[in-house]
Amino acid sequence: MSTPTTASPKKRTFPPPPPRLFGPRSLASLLDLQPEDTVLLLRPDQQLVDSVALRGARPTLVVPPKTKKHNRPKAPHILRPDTVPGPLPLDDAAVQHIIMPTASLAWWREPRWIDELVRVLAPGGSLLIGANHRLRTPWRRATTLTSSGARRRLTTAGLHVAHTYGVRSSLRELRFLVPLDHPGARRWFFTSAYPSPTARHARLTTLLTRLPRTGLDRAYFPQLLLHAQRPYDAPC
Amino acid sequence: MLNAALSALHSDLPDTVPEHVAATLQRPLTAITLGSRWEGRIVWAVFAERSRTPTAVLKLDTRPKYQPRLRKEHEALHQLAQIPDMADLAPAPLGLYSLGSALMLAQTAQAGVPLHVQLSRRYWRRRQSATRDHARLRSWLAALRTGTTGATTPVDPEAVQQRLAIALDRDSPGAAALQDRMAELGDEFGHLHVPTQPLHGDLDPSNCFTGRRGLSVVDWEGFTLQGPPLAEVLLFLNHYARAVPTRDAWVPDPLVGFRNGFLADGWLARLTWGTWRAELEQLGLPAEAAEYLLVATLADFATGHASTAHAHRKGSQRNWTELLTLYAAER
Repeated sequence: MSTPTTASPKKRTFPPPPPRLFGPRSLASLLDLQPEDTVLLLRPDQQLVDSVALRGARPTLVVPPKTKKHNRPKAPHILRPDTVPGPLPLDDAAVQHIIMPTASLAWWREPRWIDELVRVLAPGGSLLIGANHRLRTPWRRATTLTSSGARRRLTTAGLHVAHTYGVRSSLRELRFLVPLDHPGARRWFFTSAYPSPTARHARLTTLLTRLPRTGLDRAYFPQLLLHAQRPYDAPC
Repeated sequence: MLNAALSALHSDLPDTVPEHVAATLQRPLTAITLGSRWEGRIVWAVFAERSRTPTAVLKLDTRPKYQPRLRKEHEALHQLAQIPDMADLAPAPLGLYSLGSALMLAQTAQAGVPLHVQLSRRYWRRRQSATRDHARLRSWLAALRTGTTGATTPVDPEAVQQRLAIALDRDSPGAAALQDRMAELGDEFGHLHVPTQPLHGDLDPSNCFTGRRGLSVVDWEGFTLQGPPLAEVLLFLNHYARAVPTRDAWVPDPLVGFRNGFLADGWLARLTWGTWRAELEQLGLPAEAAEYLLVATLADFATGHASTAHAHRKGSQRNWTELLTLYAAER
């Protein structure tokens, strides 16, 4: 007597979700991506990889050597250097854009790692790099990273810093990218866009609207995003 | 993508755009990115060089599901531009653009500060300021009301009872007494007729900008051409009450805000009820029916029948049910 065979359930297929614009994946919208551009992604998430691919560019990932497989985003081009940060297995001027949403303190403390990014970046290419004011070593000996310090290090490496964005996520789950180089936009953010969650915040915000850009801005923008470009006349 | 959006704006600016806006948009532009709770949505406030206020607001959506909302807002802004009294009280449309698979709506930015931000910065004279805010809202509603056609919508006492029965647990404190009281009031007032008018759909203080020229309102995605305005007024009053900081919390709990606005014995509750009654009289409804219509509108919200943009959401209905239950228990 043969046992009845049951048909295996048909696997349901869903259409791919549309690209998400905000969060780390919104960074791709800040760049002028052209089809077939190569975009080097350091510390990416899958959404960022997808958003770059959806714009016709070619995402190339840098994955630290000990990254577990289930934590690794999927992409057609994956580089596995021996150490991260470290020398990148790429030719000079090989990529048109670099996105590093969260750069660890190691990247910022060693000028040679920034130089390594500049080496692989083509003239005219863009670098989006994140910086966190609250980065510390485990022993808390490192100083905090200021926006001027971050700009200085990129400028020293031969890049032109086009924009510095303050990144803010509020209690209401809204997130803001504020161009800190534009005093009017910064002031409007403090006066009109930011709902103060506490009385202390409200007083400090009122104070900041009357001041030019100072170190106090760090209280509101713990994370920075720097948009730098490599000049066309830069030597390769 | 921002550059692509600005290029689209530069290249195809309609002739109806005010000259000073068009001139400002020709200068170098930068933008603040305002994230939205909606995934797939991005909003930019665009600034011209050396400008302290945004010139335009660009709303971009990649999701086909939500793109009709942008088209709806674009149509709403065009219709509002036809109402003379609404000049400067709502954004002017600049255009609707397709950027690949995304849709972008461009509109002028409104001057002033959002009401919820202002409320979070007031340390003194809150009572006088709140009275002024409510007066400004009533002026704004009067301007919007000039688009009224004269049609009405009845408030059916039986429908109110049914919705109360759905929303309220009969065993919860005060629920049975409230239902009985509402049945009595329903018999007393019968079918009340609420005049319809254009509705904003999401009259939250965060969408209301106040400045020297009074109140102006943004975010017209939930626009309805004609509908009963009671839910809209109640939405504003409730959200305003919960945006007023208290001694215990700078951002009060929604239930605490509702209690302060409608149930407590304080200046805010007196102001809220005063505005509610005044609006009813403006609509030709008896002020004595204030409590009846308030509970009926709360029941509409709790069962998803309110004429607002987010009334159909389960979370919204759950929140309004909690407020109705609180009202039944503490009225």
